[in-house]
Amino acid sequence: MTATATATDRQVRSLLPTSTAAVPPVTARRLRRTLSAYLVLWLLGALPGLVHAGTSWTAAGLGLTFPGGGFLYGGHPVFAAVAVLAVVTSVFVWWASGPILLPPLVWLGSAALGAGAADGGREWGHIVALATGPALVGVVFAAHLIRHAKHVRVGAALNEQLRDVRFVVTGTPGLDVRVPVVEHTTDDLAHLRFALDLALQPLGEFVGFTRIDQFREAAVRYQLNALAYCLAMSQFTRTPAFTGYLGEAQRNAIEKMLDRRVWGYWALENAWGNLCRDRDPVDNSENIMLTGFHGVMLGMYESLNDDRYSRPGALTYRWDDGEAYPHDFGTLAARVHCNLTASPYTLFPCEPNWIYTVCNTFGMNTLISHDRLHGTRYFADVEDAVRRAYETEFLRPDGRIIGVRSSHLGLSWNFWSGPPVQMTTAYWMHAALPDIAQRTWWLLRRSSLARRNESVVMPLAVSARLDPGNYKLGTDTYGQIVTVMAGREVGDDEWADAAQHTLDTREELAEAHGARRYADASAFANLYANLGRFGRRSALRDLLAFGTPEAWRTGPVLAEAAYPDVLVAKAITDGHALHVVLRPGADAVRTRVRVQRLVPHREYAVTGARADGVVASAAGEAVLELDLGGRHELRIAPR
Amino acid sequence: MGCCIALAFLISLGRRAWFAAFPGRRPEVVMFAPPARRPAPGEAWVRAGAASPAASARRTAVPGLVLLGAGVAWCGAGVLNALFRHASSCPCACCGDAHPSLLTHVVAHAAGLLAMAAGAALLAARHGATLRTARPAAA
Repeated sequence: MTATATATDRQVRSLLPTSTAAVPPVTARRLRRTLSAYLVLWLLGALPGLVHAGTSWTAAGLGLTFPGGGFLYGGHPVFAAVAVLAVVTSVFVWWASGPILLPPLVWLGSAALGAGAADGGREWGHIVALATGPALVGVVFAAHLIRHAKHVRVGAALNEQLRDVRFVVTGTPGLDVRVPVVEHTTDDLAHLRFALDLALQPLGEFVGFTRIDQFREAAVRYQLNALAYCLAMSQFTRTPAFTGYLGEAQRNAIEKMLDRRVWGYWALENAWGNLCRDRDPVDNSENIMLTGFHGVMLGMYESLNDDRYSRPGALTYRWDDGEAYPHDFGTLAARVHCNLTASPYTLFPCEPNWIYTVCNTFGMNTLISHDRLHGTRYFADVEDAVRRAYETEFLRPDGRIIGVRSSHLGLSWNFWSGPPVQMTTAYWMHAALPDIAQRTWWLLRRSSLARRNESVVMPLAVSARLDPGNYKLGTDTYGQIVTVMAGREVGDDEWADAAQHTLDTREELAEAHGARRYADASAFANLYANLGRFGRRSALRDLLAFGTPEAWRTGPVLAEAAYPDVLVAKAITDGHALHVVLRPGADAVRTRVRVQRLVPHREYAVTGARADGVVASAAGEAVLELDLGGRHELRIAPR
Repeated sequence: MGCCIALAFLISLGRRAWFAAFPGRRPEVVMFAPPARRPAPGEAWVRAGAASPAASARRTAVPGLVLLGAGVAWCGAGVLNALFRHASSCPCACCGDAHPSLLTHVVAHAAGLLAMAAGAALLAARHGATLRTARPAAA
């Protein structure tokens, strides 16, 4: 890994936990409860057969012991298979969007149908129905034990190598050390314009966003999150002294999140997932997929711009004229902290019941940015518990992060949590738990990624070939994008460059009115591609955990410019002077720009404008006229 | 759960083949937002007209609903008939007076499943649920 160590960086060793328990403690309690409930259900189901209660009652009972058991007893194996498939599908729907009653209703319904269809009992069906459930539990548990033992062996071997690895946990960057504010290339600006055009449309319009559903990864809210993140990252690493339309675009993304069409999914999910009619998307014990993600948007914006969203009621989620939920950055952060404290797993759910490790990283990031900006100690209060949760309940012994776990049942399935999901988690974890994030990246690079010539090769697994922004299978574009993101963030530029090279040489581009995107990737993936494109080593960590230098918060800024006539490729201040690099959006143009945060009535020398000097107004502002025909530097410095 | 991904993959392939055969049926999706504009300091800002929604959103839902409903009814009739062995009421008259097997009924009423799938696909297309994106006119 490339490393530009500063005096505040420190080197750490990060071994995999060596606990040999096959099931972590909280999960074990939940699983015992789940199995006890199933045992009761099984006994109840077996009872009618034992007391010879009649064909229909026996079939109904066997339908409870295992989905389709009643059909088996009645001699209908095809329908038994359909019943199993229906219950599996209902669990899938529960996982996808949270309706908690669906699986038990489908199970009960299949038992009732089985009773209705049974016109004579089959002894073999009786035995199979009774035996299948317990046998399946036994087989699954045995398989888990075998896999766990293998993972423990792999983990031990990996630890032998990890003992010699030192990860660099970056500290606070000085103004002149890791800050490099670089200049957008013309390619960067074209990709940035895709995001700017999305964000700068009126608040109620969503043209250009992928619209499939509002529950899963293609939901508009995730596109809005990614939109704000990439715009903020662009400001942080390229144009920290430019607010103007870039700040407005971030505000639009933040405020579009308040549109009922974006957050209203929670009313449904809370109703069918928790049987609760409360629609408040923040004041509940779940929904980190909104509070955590929206919180990071706010933390980034406030770090770079102003604190308007920390004022009470600044974020009002309005259902209709008579129903609104006023919140702000503070209430979101407080709710995330409260839920982390109250959850038995520490991590808490997105959809009712379903805890996702990647989503909880956004909760952590909300807390660390709020703590820095407002002096709270939310993250310090939960850090040990969060770390313990990530290292025990949500980590396999071989270092693979467990993507999701049911908070009610304790069950998890990880087939979908392939390298792209792991890399996404590593990226977003790097700000708060950098050692675990870097260890995860190290493991992924060893086990899942390969290089062929200049390109990165993803595994052939289906889970590595899914674009979550439109559910398109068969493409590893998203995997390449998150390789750029994560590689850049942890300082592994070699791999990040290779993945970017893969995208540059392979992906078809689409262009419209100066904006550019990858044609075959979703809007979400394109916005994450921008996040990776504008990233650098520890950029996310620096922005969220350490914030911006004092000079950036007080020095002059380019506050207004025409879009798309004036594209801002670089804008930096040392606290007194302003240096800006501009490019025209299309043709050469004579235009004006407004500079703010100058010292009132002070005289400034100007280069790159039509006038060579200007006196700031009483409000500390100046408007400069300039001719823009190509790359153009503008400098304003006190005389 | 692996079967769900496999199913999604098959649906993806089916959609790809369908749109290859009938490119005109591909739902239109807007890849870019309308070009934004912001004025220079001191200039008046005239907002461009609101973008029109994708053409696909204006399609009617009736054919999809009809197909879906017909499929559900056809399958439901077959399943209920088979469950309760009222062979003579079978609307497809596939069984005569004999008591058929459940498998016979499932096969006989499989057209209902196809109708349901086609109806659902039409409804999904209407709502712009597409796995591929189309070129913008301005590109």
